[in-house]
Amino acid sequence: MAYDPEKYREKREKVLGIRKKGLGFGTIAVIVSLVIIAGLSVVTVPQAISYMTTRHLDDAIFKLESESKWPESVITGINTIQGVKNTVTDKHDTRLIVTYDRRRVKLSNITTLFGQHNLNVALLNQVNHRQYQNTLKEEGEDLETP
Amino acid sequence: MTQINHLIEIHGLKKKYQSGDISVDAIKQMDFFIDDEEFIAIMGQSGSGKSTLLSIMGALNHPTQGKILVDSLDLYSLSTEQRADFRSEYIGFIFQSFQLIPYLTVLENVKLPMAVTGRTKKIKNQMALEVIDRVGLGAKAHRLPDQLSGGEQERVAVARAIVNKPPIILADEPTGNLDSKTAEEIMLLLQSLNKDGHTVIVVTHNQDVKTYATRSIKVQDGECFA
Repeated sequence: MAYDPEKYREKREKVLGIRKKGLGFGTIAVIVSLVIIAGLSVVTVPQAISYMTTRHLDDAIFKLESESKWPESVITGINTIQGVKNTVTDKHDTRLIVTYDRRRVKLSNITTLFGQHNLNVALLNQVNHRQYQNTLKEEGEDLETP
Repeated sequence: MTQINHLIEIHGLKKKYQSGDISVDAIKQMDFFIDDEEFIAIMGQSGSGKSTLLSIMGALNHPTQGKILVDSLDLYSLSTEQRADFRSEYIGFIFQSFQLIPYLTVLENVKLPMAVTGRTKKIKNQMALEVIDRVGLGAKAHRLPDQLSGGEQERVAVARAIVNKPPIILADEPTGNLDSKTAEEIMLLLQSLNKDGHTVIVVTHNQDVKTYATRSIKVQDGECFA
């Protein structure tokens, strides 16, 4: 029978590597790499975003020397200060945690407000927001948002 | 890739075996072609170079000089991996001594050439059972080789050779270990495979094989005479 180059074209292309025999090693390697990168991204990207958005924040923890509850008007007043991100009291309403952007507001701006309300306030601690959140997580402390 | 006019073309083929200071010209000079769907009997005495020729055609043995083109593929210009793919895609081998794995069943032996084809287990089983039926051993698919006669073992070897649907079947003395009646059955089987579209090349010193072939090539002292 006369030679017909088309008859075994498929086989010839397989031998020459023109026609793929299923998924090639390169394709599988790319797919596996993408799955690994996607998995790592799911874990690391939210952490990176969280870090970027909270790295300038500090927490100041205050307590009234009278050990009474914090007046709502003071909390509202603190929340209106530019650079204050959040205020939280503990479950007994005795400690007030103020989260603020240290680039935009100084601690003295907050303490001045206590003076305006004639409150004797003790600063218990001033700590990086992320560090404080980690400490809370470790201690499992329960906080309430006013 | 070189443009050719025949399925198999052999140009200026030479093969020299070197053993220490002694060199033997197994193939001195060969030029011939084989067309698609031919049944070729390569005839020759022991030591004439016919088995060397078959192994070179099967991409198993580098020639010292010359070219062998199969379906435009220059076999010994291909990479080792491409040559392995060539054997898998194009060639079915049948050996004189059957070369069956004794602890594997007929079905498992026949499935062996499909091990690296990427086919699913189900398809492999289906294809293997089809060719086992084709060689008339459907009822003995789960037997071990030593539970079969010589002729039946040769049939398993044939089934294994055709399971990947290769266009070319190379058989080295396929009837060498068989009685004349069984040898005739095997030759008729090869003839029917040829009629199904396989190019069959049989290397033998048995003159009777010529009667089944469409053409014979005589090999003598490392040279061929078509």
